Amino acid sequence: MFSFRLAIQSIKNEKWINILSVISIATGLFILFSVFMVIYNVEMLSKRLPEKLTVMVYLNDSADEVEINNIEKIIKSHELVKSIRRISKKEALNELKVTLGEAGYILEGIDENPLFSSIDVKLKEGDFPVESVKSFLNELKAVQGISDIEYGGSIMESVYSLKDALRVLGFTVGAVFFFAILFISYSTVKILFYRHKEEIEVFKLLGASKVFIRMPFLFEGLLIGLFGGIFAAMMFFGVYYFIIQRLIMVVPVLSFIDVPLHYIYTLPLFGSVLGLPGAAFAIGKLKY
Amino acid sequence: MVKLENVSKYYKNLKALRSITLNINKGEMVFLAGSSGAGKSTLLKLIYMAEKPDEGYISVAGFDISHLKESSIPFLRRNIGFVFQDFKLLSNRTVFDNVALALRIRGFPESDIREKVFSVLKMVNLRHKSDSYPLELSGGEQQRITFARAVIGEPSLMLADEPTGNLDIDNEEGIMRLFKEINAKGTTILIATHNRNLFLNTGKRVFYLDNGNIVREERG
Ligand SMILES: Nc1ncnc2c1ncn2[C@@H]1O[C@H](COP(=O)(O)OP(=O)(O)OP(=O)(O)O)[C@@H](O)[C@H]1O
Ligand SMILES: [Mg+2]
Repeated sequence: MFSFRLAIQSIKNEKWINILSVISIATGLFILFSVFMVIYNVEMLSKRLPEKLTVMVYLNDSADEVEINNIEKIIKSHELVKSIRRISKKEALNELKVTLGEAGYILEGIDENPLFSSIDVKLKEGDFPVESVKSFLNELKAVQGISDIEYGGSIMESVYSLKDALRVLGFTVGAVFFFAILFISYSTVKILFYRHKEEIEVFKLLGASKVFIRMPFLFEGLLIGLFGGIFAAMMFFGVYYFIIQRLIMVVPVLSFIDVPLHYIYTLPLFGSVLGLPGAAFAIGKLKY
Repeated sequence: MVKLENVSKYYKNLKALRSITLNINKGEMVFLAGSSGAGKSTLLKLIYMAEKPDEGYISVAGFDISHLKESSIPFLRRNIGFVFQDFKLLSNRTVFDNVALALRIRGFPESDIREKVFSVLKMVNLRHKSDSYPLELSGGEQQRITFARAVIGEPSLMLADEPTGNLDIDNEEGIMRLFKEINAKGTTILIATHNRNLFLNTGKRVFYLDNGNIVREERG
């Protein structure tokens, strides 16, 4: 197709402008994608967190069966709760013995079971505000027969506030780079458009339609975006294989990092989708 | 082929054309003469719709262009061939591509283009220059390329604005011979010039413009 050949030709002729724009767009997309990855990971982490953290509700020794049943009912009926498990004093002791293993001898000679019976509460997986967990726990504290509640709340709170901060930051950075990429494509095509002004005059004189005049520039915007996206994807693969994977090997704690690689394939598409309207804006309205 | 009735064109307060009426028949070759600033280029611009008339009625090749939609302009122009004093060739394309452009714009398939381009290049005696760039050619050669680009679309009307302005007398004769050749094949031709040599002893009609008025019509 002739328009397409013109676009390729123009990219070749104006190599440096185009290479520069491709690199800028790639960098923008790369940053955009990195921010997305960080947000994605924190979101995933915070979603799984309540599920991983169990709430231990310790019961008073004096609590009788009726009271305990009542407590179980209260906990179970709460919307945040996924499941509960009752652990009697005896079970707690057995578990402790298993945990201690060979060191179990320390328990020898203790006649009375020193442990409390407790209820092991698992929270639902999901995205709920840390306040609701807190108020749930406060409600429980007031219930008769509960002596104490143990919960990894501070970890959760810091992850949640990190998440909120990152969301705001992410959307801001995302918006800035979104418009930056549009603008790069816009200004590149604008420059090229001015450079081709004479040519466009001749095209008009010879009876070219507006579509015919616009097409090469639209292709060019599209291609700049596409190559920017491909380049960004390559950078991200590089970072993933050479940095993140090695980091995880060295620091296993980081293994929660999850890079959904299949999203990387959307980068070229995303680049093209941004490159095209930039070019369209740059051409603006044509007049014969 | 071209009809103007009481056409006026103003640039702000300046009256570039005042109530022009003229009629060019199909197959005619007509000259537009007059000194600099008389309004010759303006009249041509109205015909190919680079400018809109402020008053009057214009029709070209059957198009009523006083009421033509903007989107029809390209189709009007595909019926017109252009030859200008400054050639308007694209310096970063070969001669071949410059001429082929007129066909590509019309959406011709590439397979037809080669043969057609070579045939018009042969007509202007520049078949051997098809791979050169315009700036590697002399002024006369460049004008012949422009001519080739204009005729390749087989327009029913040719417009020329000072087509020999930059050429010496030999090249002038060469380009005028080409105009006569396609005129003989039936193409209507309108040439704006202040060079009397172009129309002396041709027997063609000459309109004299002065200060936006047609002051005389003679036979050259
Ligand atoms: N775009 C424009 N804006 C304002 N005035 C213009 C414009 N184009 C032409 N004119 C004026 O209109 C008048 C006619 O100009 P035109 O170009 O038609 O003359 P011409 O006969 O072609 O002259 P020349 O032989 O020098 O080419 C001139 O006075 C010119 O200054
Ligand atoms: Mg003029």
